[in-house]
Amino acid sequence: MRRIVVALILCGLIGLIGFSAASAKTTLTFVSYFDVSPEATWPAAAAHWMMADKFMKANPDVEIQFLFVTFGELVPQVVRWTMTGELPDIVALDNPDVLHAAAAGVYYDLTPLVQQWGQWDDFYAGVKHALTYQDQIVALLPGTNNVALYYRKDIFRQYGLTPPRTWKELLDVCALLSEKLAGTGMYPLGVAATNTEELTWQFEPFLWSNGGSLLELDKPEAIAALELWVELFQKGYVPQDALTWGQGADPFIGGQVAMMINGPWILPLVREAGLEYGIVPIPAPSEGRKVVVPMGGETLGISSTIQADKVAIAWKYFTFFVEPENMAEFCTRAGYVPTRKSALPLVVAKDPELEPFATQAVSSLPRPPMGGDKLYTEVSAIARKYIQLALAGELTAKDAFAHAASEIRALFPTDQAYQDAVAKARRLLEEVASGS
Amino acid sequence: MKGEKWNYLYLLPAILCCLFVLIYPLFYNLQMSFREVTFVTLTRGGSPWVGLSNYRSTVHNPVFLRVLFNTLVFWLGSVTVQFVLGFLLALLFSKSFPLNYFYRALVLLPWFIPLTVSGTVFKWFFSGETGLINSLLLGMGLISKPIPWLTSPRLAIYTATLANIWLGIPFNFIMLFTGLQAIPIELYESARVEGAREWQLVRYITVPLLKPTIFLTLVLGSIFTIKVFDIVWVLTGGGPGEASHILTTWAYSLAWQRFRFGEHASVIGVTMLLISILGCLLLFVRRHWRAE
Repeated sequence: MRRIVVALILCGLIGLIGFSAASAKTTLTFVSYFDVSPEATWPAAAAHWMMADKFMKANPDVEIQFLFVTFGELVPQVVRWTMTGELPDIVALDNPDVLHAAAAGVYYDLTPLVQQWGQWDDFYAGVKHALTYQDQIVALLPGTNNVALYYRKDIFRQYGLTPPRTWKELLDVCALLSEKLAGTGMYPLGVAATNTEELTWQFEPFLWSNGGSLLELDKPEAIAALELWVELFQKGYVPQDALTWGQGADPFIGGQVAMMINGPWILPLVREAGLEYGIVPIPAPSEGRKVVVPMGGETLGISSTIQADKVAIAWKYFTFFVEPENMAEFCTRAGYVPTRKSALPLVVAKDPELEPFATQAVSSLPRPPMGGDKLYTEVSAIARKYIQLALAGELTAKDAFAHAASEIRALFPTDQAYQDAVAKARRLLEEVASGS
Repeated sequence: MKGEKWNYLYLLPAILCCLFVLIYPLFYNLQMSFREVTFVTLTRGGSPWVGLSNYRSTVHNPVFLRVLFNTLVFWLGSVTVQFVLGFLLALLFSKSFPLNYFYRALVLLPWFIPLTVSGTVFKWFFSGETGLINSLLLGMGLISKPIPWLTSPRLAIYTATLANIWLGIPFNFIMLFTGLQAIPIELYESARVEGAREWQLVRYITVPLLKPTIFLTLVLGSIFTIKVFDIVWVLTGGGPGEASHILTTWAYSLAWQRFRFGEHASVIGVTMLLISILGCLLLFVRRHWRAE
């Protein structure tokens, strides 16, 4: 009997020692839609690991543990965690979800910390706007991205083509490639038309550059943009499978398409694949018009349920991450472009090929204010549902967007709220499109 | 007297389990269907009571009829074909032939393979350009252009049904096979002696004696099929453009893509209502059968 008691006491002591030894290190849990690990090959994931590793080496008493949730499931999972009070310490949501998440109480208010830090004004206007909810700064944006047109230089050279700069040129190039590449299994163009935010995001440059708005999809400018995409699909320039494609590099690298709309995050992979490629801005509706792109990038936010003694160390990681030199290193590794003025020359110097994306980023637009703020997620869901139906040939572009527009209008509680949102979106678009 | 009280105590863990895992979520969902619940009110509380408003929006939603149609196609298509194939396989395996046990295990394969794996394989099967099925059909010259199995708004639900048939065969097979074993061999032997043919044996002995098992298989199969979510979600995500949603996937997308939790709960409510009606109908049919 005595032996059992002694054994139990020993176990308890060992347990206590083990417990206190474990708690000597502070663990920060970090959730994102990147599978971050030392072996990660996806550039953004590898870049996150690189930053965390650098920080952990400089701060040996901190351990950053990464959690991975797939892109389409991150926001639902964060909502579930908020309900059960189990949010990880650091939450890296895609930037258009930030304001919605802030309204649901996901974030810790960073405003006093940011004010003390004093470097907020170095960030671009659109960026600051996207991270502020009701005068509270809720997250930081360490890198941004947008989309441009990748093309195969060798194929273009073979057929004597120049990369398209306008919608008409795009259609002409596609028509020629479609003829020349018939039977090879390669299509002229690839886009991400799957049923997630990726589709709306790829469509927005065409919509906004033509003066269209997500809140007024039944107007001619918006319909014209959709008609362009419908033509690309109906004429077989884009494979029907694109309706299931995300923004991975495989279709371009694998030789399924000669051109692809994609972002700088696949640049490291494209280089590794050893292809002869070029990058040009998204084709504009016509000569001389400015291309307006949406603002991409994942944010860094501290969760509202974090233990109070961990806030300081989490904030230390954030400020470390967005230091101009560190941001530049992160951006070049991840294939992103910077969000603050002092980091821009550093990034372009390190990697001149990021230049088209970097310049487009300076005047890129955050998505929520262009689509009803909190309602953006739903506006996007409705828009892309009808875009898919039009691309699949079920509805004409005009009918699809007529339905979409009326469903989107119905989302707003009052007509005044709708008109305010429309005016806000128009104002932002004019500001940027006029080239200011 | 004392013995009886102990009986209730032994039941307590099971009752508590049922309460927390079944009854509570059911009622939580039900009451959520009468409230307007959004992303914000879900986490912060304060969802206002709106009565039948969610049900009204669900029924008036233009997608609703399409979803009902898809669910009907999915249910009938899956259950009937799974049943027939399962039955034929059960008849086959009640004979003895070399490697009977080995092949029987293979029939159960769809149950053992994780759905993420089989879902991914099916996605490749049905892929437009590089998919196995299209490559075969094109190679054999049966079609000239690849069939958009998963990307055509009209075809997608039928493709998902095909995949679900494969997944449901093991269940039907096991139920019917077990039922077949319970039929005494002597009945077959004496019928054979009297000169009955193979199909007559099936029609006059097997099917009538198997009636309770058949009934149970169809009912359970139907309930399981209507509850299916994952294979459709993995294959089509309800798309393209919400054309291949069934009740379960539509409810999920309302909750986790549109963040309209109240409407999501009302779709679940409608699903439960339909299953209950189905159950009642089947009980009615069964009473008829018994009366024969």
